[in-house]
Amino acid sequence: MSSPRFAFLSRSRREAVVSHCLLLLGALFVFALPVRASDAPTKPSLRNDSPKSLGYGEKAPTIAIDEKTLALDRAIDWTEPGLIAVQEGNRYKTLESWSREAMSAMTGRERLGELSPIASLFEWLFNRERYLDTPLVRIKERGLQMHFSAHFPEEQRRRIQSTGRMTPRELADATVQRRMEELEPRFDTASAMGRVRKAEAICEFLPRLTRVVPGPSSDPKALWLAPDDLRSNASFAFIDIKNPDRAELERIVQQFGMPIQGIKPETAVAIYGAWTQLGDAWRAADAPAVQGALTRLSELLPANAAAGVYPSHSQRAAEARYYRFGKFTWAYLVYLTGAIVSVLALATGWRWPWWMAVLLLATALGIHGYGIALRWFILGRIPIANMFEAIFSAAWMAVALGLILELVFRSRILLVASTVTGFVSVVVATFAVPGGADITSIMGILDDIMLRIHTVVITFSYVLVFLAGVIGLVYLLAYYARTAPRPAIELSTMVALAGGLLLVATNQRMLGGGLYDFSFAVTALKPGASFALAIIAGLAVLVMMAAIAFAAPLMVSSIAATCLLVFGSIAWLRHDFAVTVGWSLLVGGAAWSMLTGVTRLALAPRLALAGAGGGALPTMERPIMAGGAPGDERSVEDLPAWMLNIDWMHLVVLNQVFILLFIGTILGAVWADYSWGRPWGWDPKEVFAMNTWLVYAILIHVRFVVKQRGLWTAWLSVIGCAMMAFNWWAVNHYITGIHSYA
Amino acid sequence: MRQHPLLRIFSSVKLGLLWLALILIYASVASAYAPIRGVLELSEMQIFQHWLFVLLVALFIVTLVVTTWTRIRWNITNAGVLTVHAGLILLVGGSAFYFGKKVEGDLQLFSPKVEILAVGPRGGEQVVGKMLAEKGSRWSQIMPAFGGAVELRVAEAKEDGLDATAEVIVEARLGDAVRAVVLSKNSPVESLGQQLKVRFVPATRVDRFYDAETAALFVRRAGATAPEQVAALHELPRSRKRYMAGGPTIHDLDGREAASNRVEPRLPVLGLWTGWFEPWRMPIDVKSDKLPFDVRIDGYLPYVEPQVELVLSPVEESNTFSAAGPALRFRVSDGARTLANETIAAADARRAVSETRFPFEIVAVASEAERVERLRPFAGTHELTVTLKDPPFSRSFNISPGLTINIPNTSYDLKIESIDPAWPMITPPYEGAVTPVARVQVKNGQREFNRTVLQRFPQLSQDIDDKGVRHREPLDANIELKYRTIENGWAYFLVEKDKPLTLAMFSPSGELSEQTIEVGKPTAMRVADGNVTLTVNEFLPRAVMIQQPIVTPADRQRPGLRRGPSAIRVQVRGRGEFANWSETYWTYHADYPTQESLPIRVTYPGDGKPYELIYSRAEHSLGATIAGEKLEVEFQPGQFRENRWKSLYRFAAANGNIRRGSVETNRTDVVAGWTLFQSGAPTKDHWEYTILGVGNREGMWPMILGSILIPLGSLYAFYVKPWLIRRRKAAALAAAAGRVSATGASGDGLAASRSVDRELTEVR
Repeated sequence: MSSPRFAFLSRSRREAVVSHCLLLLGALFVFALPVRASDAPTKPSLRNDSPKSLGYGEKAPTIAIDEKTLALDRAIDWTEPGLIAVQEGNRYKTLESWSREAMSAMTGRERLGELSPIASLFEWLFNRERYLDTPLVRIKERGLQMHFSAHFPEEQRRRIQSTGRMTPRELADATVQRRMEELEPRFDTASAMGRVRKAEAICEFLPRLTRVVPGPSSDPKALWLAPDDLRSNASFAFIDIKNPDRAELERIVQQFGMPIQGIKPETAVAIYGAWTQLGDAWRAADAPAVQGALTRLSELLPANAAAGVYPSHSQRAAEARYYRFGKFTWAYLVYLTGAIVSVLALATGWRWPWWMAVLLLATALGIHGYGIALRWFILGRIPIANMFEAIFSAAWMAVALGLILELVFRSRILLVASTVTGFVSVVVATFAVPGGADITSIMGILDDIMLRIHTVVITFSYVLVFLAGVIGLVYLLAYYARTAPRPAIELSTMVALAGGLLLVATNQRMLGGGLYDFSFAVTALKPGASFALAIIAGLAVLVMMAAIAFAAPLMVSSIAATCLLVFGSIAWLRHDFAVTVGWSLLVGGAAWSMLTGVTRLALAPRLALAGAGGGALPTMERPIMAGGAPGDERSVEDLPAWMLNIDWMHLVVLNQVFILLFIGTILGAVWADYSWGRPWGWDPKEVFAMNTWLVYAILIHVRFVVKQRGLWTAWLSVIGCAMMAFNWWAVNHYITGIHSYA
Repeated sequence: MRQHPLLRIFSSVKLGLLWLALILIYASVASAYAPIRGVLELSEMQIFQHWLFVLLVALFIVTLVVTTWTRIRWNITNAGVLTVHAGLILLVGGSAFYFGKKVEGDLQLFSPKVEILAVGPRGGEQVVGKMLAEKGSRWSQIMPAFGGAVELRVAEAKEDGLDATAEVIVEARLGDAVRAVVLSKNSPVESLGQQLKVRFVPATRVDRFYDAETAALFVRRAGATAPEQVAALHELPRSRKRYMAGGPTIHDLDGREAASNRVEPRLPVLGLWTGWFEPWRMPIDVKSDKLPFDVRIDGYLPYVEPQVELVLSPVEESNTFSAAGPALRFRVSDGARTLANETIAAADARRAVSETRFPFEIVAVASEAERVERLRPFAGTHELTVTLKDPPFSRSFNISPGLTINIPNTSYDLKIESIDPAWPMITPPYEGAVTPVARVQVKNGQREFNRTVLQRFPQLSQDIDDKGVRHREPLDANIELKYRTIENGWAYFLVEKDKPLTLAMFSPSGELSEQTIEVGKPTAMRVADGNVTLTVNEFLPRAVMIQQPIVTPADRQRPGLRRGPSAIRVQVRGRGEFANWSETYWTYHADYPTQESLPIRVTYPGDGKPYELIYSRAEHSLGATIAGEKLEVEFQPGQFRENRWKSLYRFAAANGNIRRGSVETNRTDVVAGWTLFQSGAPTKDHWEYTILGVGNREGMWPMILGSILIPLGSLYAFYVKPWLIRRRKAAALAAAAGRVSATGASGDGLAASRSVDRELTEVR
């Protein structure tokens, strides 16, 4: 007889859940037995497959800045000096944005200690020697941290590995340099090493990289100069041209190089003089002198540029504002608040949460849109050229469309979907995209009108795909909470436990080198392990099929399915993919289980049988925009009317997805055709765009042949969303192809 | 209409969905899972031309056509879905035509240029600079030998037909001196002084391009400038190491063995033949009437490094045509360290002597007399043996630079001018070999000449007369000179028939020691610095030394590379009476057979002629001759990253007129029916050459039409059709309401509405 406490579980499912819990506990026990911190593999992985490598858990040390320098920073008005133009990264930027990018690339934060970003830049330019033994150069990847610190004394090693930072002196160490040279040729360490080299370049060569002096040419694209490059020209200013001292000339050339042609000595004296005064004043913490020198430079530099070379003041001011306000990515907070309120609006059917959610969504759109507009003005082109811009801009369009549709149909589900889409898109664009929201130059081949149109349309359709996916998820949650809450909770719990098992089996600390060979190059299975695991996975398939065929207890088939999942993932997926699958199952399963329970509780009255409408919202007439495929009229007797509404809203979005996805893909082919004479090359990006569209083609036609149309549509919509996410993320970052830059 | 069983099956929507799902799965796996393409040895493009994918698509189209014809009502309401389906059929049909006919490749165009050459003391020339042969181009460099700055400027450039530049006038400022020279195709080189020249190199003319996917074997015959294609290698693998057993072990850069994958398409477990699914083959036999011998390709290596390792390849006894000889691999160590690891082969002049400070030479001793002569004691560190025929005289002298020797009772006086321990040979086939030489001035009465005496190749000793002319034949056949040295010692591995391998070692002091060598057994040796151990690891009585590729270790292989860094193993075999002749070589891939090619040179015993075999890409005719004009590059701010490329060229149109054309980033051009696009460019000088992609575009119109019909039809199906249905429903309801009021019957409205639904929306 089942215990009343667990009455919500059926007996067979209870056994299955219990067996999974036991499996997980057993795995933890078995694999954790040999665990010691010191048993961690000597050859660490460079994969970002642990939270620590993302920076979480890193205890970045506080960089102590002396009080005089802090006071100096507070005393300076950085408004105008921050607008001084810098030529770097194949574009022009402001000193403000350059300082944030440079400090961020070197230390992981935009500032040193409590200094402002620009003050941090100057502190590094003029007082670098104070910090040679300060751990501030960020080494992001754990594997690199361990590899570079292996030869240092234990205390030093621990500090580097726990903080993820090295001192400039440690970075310049001969052994560290040799190890960097060894790792650079390896393909899979290329991006990690690129980050280290960039940090090193800023650490060592910041004065040479801060090119603020316009060159003598009238070509806006000509190379600019760093102030120190003017030393030779400035020194020549003191030579008597009529009776030049040859020895002195040779000394100057030997020491400072040849003078730069086209720059007058007096100009060089003025600029270099101001720069030198700035440095002296900074070291002396003389605020008025620093301010004076900065003001002089702010006047001199633009004045000495040829016409059309120096970026306009309005553009520079816009960029400074853009960076100062965090690139307006904090709009995700407003989206999140809107999402919470919109869920309330959907769950309760009340009016005031609906209005509040609409206002919050409109506000978020306004902030979001302002950020896009400002970036557009700064760049002088539509901001759609890199991953951040594509997601950020396309999300705005899709969310705006969602808001318009919500105002038309008042369905509430579109409100939920739009706010969630806005939140997720902005968060992903800001925190998960390499390079983040920094403004970068565009590759020449991407600077084309047709490509921009293609990118706009395709990314817009992708965000609509996501929006539809959110609607599909809500439908599935509501459907299973309504029709089968217990199996949903149980199954999702088992999925979460299976994910946990997979994480245990792939964790390098727990295994201690059991199944995997952890190295810098590849985290690969040991020889023979792949074959053995594949055999086990194959056997699991047979057991599962037999269990189903012979109606064996659910526990048997569920354990077989888990074995297939775990061992198959390890055997056939790369280590980091397997870890990602594990986390997805764990988090997804747990979230699904929790959300099902919450939905069941929250929507209990509204999940009653239909017929009478079952809730505050009346059944709307099927909108024309939801036309095309058959409606869900067959299931209308089984489901509450508001779920029918969700299905129709789903179709409204899906119809647009189907058309826009196709048009966007074809526009890409048009661009490819006139760019390199080949409209389609079966590049992975192209193939997965086609695959995504095929999912929706299947979705539309499935409605002709199934009974539960809404359910099938919801599942296929989620699958299509996963396919889109795979195309946008995995294809870009893990599968090499022509679109690897996109 | 659907009574026929086949029609019933192929008109199933579920079947259509199944085909779509299978296409989706195939596309996902083929695109995302690179090892699949590696196993099948197919590129991204080729895997979607595999018969399985084509079959799936064909089945889907058949199902689509049958379903559309038999199940969808042909009326205005369904115009949208009919349009979509028609568009899909056109798109797929056009794609089949497009990919079936697809040819793609590229060509390299060099811009006309002026090269600046520095002339060395021995007459050798080296390019020290170059500039585009265009008016206004400049080049300058500080050259102290010329009094300071050397500046050159193209003052004038004249065009002529296909040549953007056929003649240039170059102004040269050397120090304070200025002069102008005219360079043209007929007169390309002019001297600017004793040590400087300028050379005009016109733009290349190209009338063919090279396939992006398919490799090919080329041959360049003796005296020919251009190679010709022997055969396309359609079945050559592309991704995996596949080489037949029987050759030396292949290693990677870390010294690990790079084992071969399967060498035939067959399942490893059950042995089932899978050639019907896997398109690659090994070995590949190439029989062509362009070659007097047969070629078999029995090895393929991707990801090869620029370095090679020298390995020994045994030659069969029956192969009497190949120049083979004894060869061995040995190691010298002092117990803790390896001092030398060398491979030497008697048949290879360059590699018969080791590159160690203490030379080891392997020689095949044909007779006892030769043995005695080799091991004859030295008269000194440097020994010159003088032999006269008349009067008979033979003596060995201990010589040094400056020494004079008077041959008694003769009028011969010899003076040792110089001794060189390592004289490089440039005479084929000895090029690359190094030998000690002595230069001796020979006087015999009035006659005087210099003789260069080579230790290792005495037959190549040369006489230089008093006018500085070199003579292959001796100027005085009466006197024979032989030179040998043991300045750093000298060791011989003596290989004699029916005798064990012997090491005969001369120390620098002239002391000779002999010992028998056993393969694999360490042998102690006494040298000036102490005792060392010599171990012969491999000894082949009849072998040649070949250059074998080294493979990049897996963790350093960049995925997605084309055939660029790859090599094939080529076995050439004679025919008829030369059937016993066989040689094996590794040859490296060249992107263009005319540029950067690294051919293997095969001398066929049948005609004694050399044939260069080149492994490159299959060629196609362009149908026009095209000549490069120049490459223009636009940079981004800072001049570090290129923003745009534009290639200018000229070509002869079909009517014979010369036309100018250009392609640039995001813009193509059409030449002789081929689409050209900007594909590659140099990263250093940004002007010297450009690479243009070439491709065809057949079947575009059906694809374009299909691509237009699909979204239009979708818009109709999603938005117009529901509106039409709603209108007709409303009309039906109104009509039914009218009937109700007339007859009093109820329920007609809903039934009428449902009837309209069924009629218009459901599939039959």
